[in-house]
Amino acid sequence: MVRRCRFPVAGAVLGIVFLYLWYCLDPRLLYGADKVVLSSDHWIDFPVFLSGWDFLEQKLVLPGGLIEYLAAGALQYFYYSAAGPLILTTVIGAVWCGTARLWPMLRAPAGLIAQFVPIVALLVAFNRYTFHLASYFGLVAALLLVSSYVRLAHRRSIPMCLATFVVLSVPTCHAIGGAYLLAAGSCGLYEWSRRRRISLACLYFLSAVALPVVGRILVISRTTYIGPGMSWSYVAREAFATGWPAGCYLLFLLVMSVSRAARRHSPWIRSTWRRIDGTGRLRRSRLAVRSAVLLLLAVAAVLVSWDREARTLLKANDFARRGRWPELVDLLVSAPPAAYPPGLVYDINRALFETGQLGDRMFAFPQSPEFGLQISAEAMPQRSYHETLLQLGCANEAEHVIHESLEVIGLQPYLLSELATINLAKGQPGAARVFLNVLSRDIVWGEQARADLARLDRNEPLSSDEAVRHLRSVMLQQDVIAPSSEQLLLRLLRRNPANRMAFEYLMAHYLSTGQLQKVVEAIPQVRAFGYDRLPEHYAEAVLLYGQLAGRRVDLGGWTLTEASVSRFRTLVELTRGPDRDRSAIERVASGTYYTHYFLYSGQQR
Amino acid sequence: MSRPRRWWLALLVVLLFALMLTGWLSRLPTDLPRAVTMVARPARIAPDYTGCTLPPNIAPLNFVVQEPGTQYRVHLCAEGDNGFIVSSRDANIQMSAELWRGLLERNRGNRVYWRVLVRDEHRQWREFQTIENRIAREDADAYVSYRRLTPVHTLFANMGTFQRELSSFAESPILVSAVGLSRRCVNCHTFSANNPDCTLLHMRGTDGVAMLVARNGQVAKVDTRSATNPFPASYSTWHPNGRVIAFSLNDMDQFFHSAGTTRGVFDFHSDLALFLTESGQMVTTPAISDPDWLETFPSWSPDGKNLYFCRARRTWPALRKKERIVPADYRQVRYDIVRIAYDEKTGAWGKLETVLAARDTGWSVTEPRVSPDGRFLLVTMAEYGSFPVFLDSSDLYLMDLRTGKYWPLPINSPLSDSWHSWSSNSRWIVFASKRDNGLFGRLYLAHVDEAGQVAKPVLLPQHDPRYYDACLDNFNAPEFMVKPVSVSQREFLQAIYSTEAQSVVMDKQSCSVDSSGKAEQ
Repeated sequence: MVRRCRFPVAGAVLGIVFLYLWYCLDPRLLYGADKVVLSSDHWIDFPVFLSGWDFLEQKLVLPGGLIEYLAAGALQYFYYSAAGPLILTTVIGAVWCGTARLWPMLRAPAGLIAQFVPIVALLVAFNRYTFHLASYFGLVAALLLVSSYVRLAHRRSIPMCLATFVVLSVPTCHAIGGAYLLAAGSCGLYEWSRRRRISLACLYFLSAVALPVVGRILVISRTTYIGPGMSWSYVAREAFATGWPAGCYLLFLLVMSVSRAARRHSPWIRSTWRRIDGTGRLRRSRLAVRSAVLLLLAVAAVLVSWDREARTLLKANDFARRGRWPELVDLLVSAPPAAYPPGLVYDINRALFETGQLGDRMFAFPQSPEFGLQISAEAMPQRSYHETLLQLGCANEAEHVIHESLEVIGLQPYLLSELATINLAKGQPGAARVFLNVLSRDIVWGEQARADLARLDRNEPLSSDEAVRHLRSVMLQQDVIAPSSEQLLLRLLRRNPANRMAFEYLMAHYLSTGQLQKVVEAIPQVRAFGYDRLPEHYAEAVLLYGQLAGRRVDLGGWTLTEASVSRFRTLVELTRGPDRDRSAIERVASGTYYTHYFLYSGQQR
Repeated sequence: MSRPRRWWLALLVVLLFALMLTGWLSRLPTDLPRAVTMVARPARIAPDYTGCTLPPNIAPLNFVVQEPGTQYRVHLCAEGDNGFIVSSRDANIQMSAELWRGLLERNRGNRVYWRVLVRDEHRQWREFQTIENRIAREDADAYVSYRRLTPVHTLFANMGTFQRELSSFAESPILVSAVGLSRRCVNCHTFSANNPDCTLLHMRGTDGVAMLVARNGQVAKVDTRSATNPFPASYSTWHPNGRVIAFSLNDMDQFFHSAGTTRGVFDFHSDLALFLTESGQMVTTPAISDPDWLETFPSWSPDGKNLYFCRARRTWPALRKKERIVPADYRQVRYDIVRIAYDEKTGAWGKLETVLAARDTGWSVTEPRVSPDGRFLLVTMAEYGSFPVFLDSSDLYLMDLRTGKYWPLPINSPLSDSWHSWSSNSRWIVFASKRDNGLFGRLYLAHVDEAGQVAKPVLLPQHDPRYYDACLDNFNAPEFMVKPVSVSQREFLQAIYSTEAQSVVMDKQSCSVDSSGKAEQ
């Protein structure tokens, strides 16, 4: 199609792809979404990238390390809204162009299907958000290698072809790792179908499988250990870990080559194929119709495969990271995700707190029965968890989990920045400098880190001074070992009685764990935090406590709204009698504390 | 030759010529400028290599001149030795290893001088006050091994034990956590009398818990746990004869503070035992494994006749792992240094003798290491507990074993100084200190003279003088070695993945036991 339609059509298609990627997919959301959980078994793994030779060197020793390095570098530019779509469009364009050039060389039909399928497949893969960019860089590099080989080996003798293949193969295999499967496989196909050199083709096919495995074994034996526990399947899995898009492409290429052979032998298949694929001599109108049908199918496939739920979760994460709290609440109200991963729970509570709604609306969103500030493996890598701890003033707890995260997920810039802030707040500028020095090598965060270091040199206030000042004003000064969430929040309040976040989170903790009496006892303190009315969930807890304890509660001057009382009375009616209708309770008490108390807190009465 | 090819060739020649010309023009002169303005203070350099005593066999002390300038020149010389000049366009001063080694070798026992000259943006040269360092007469041991790990808390994805040749920057792994199919915690390592022919490493993780005992090139995986002893071996020490290993069995936990230093370690229970490598037996005596006392950090005297260790009374009941919590008075747990005589031939134990009591020092005294000449005992003192590396209060103290006097080293910093080791000639110590930033431990080498005077330490140099500025690794548990570990990482891994772990059973009957267990003051 590229050849047939020339530049304007190809440009238009790529333009549409770019716009789709920019406006719909929005790959910018991936930046800052490291370890955001999209579903039970999918999360974002955003790679670390540092400038400097040592980081490149670390990557280059591993097969496929070069494309990993390039992809990690390219992904950093996803921070800029147009750069991500541009990079992905370039990958698609390169695969399209490579297909259009490569397939005729292999005598495979380069019709509409051959050209549409890889593009659509790439878009479908990108639609999942969890794509591994290095694998697609590998695919492009493999197509480039096979084009180079075909160009260089054209009309050469077998020894020359073999020499060319070896010279191209060894560095390429090391550079692209598993994607070499496509490169060598395609060279084999070329020799088989075009030059009829069966033995040479077989040699290439063999090298397609063997060379990445041998390369991996060499690296493993040099840098690590091949022992009883290290099976061939493990080595093969490692060797081809990044090569599956290239493998799929090769499979598709093989299918198309076989279909070509089938068409040669069967006139019926040939005519049917031409009708579908448009490779035959068709009238312009028929060709246009078929192109339109294929285009519609492609668009449908792309739109159906677009993971909107993932986009919502990523968008929510993006709002949280940018501190756009009202928009985060609005997003989750307008498009509630099917599941709330742990990171999102921290974000939504923070958003509710920042917008002054935690006491009113927190139970409109799923809450954990234990309003957890406790360190858990699930919460540990979540940036939202670190930020919550830091904002509350739990500097040491935050330092603990961030160091653990650093150990497990690597030198993510946000972790380095958070550790620099903590160390500055704790009066350890020397340690903060070490983190800032590493951070200064990050593409996006580097400039700010360098400016911060320069300011530290001049003893000037830092850009992150606000965060440091805040942390200093709320962080614990008195030591306690292994405190519970409640002890921690109470100590934070003792440290800084104006720490409204600690107070609201303490109340949220009491509510979520069903400690109604403690909620009621804390009601007199509410006024000290500048509330102009009693938050709705607190009022609900008061009513509930009054009902369950059978006594009037001193509200310290607060009055309950008529709506609160009326809803509670309805609820009481519904919960009377032995056969309580849970669905009815849920309907009436939807979004209220009652739902959580009766249905989730495990303290039903 | 065709015309285009001729053009290409000509272009190549021109490019080569241009490259050579650029190289020649950009070379820096290696002489000192004549017109200079004197500055009445030394130049600021990092790391702070000023007034130190240097081992004659140390790698070049590359440094950064922290003075603004456009060109830098450093003249390294000594009395009667013109030395050499290093020129640089940037502030990084990196020296030729050969010239550096020659200068140190020629000037053992003498002072070396560094004249630092900086050219400012007005092309004026400024010369700072000369920096002075001293070269010791005695070499430090040729190698140092240490652990590198990020400031981890409970996870161990990237840690390892490494060895470094002191005279160069060559570092190689002995065993790192992330090789093989699984990851493991690689902990303390020890050698017999600084000789790595007898090497011991500890590891914990999914591959099991074991001591990796390497003797004369053979590695054995030894699991010291049993039904009666559920705790793994931790801190160890080889007897100088290379046949006996003393080690502690610790039931320790890491805990976290909510304010101040984040991490802490608490020993709920600890005992000592010996592993007899030739018979494969594990023996102990109540004097070193009293259930009412915590015994840890064993260290043999250089003659092998005494086992030094630290111990503190246990004031809390034995609890199961899930039930136990760090006692509220954990800051009151302070360790004494004690020693017990041991006859390796008969297996007979002597009586406990307190060497340094916490009630006298007011501090918890841990990590005893006797100098190989038997003269000094180097210990760490800290506010409390047995894990001084996490405590800012920890300092190094030297005790003269002849007189019983002890004193803090003048080189202590306000932050953590701990994990020390002696070189085999007793003239050098290497220790880990967090003096630079409070979080990341770095290794320092300090000279100790015959009278126990300790000179200003020198930071273990790196090829890139800015290396530590962006290094997130902690360097700790350094040990001097006279030569590199001959067992390869692969051999250690083979032992780790071997299904044949040598299980040893505590045999309290096989040795003569002094059951009094009372310390003799």
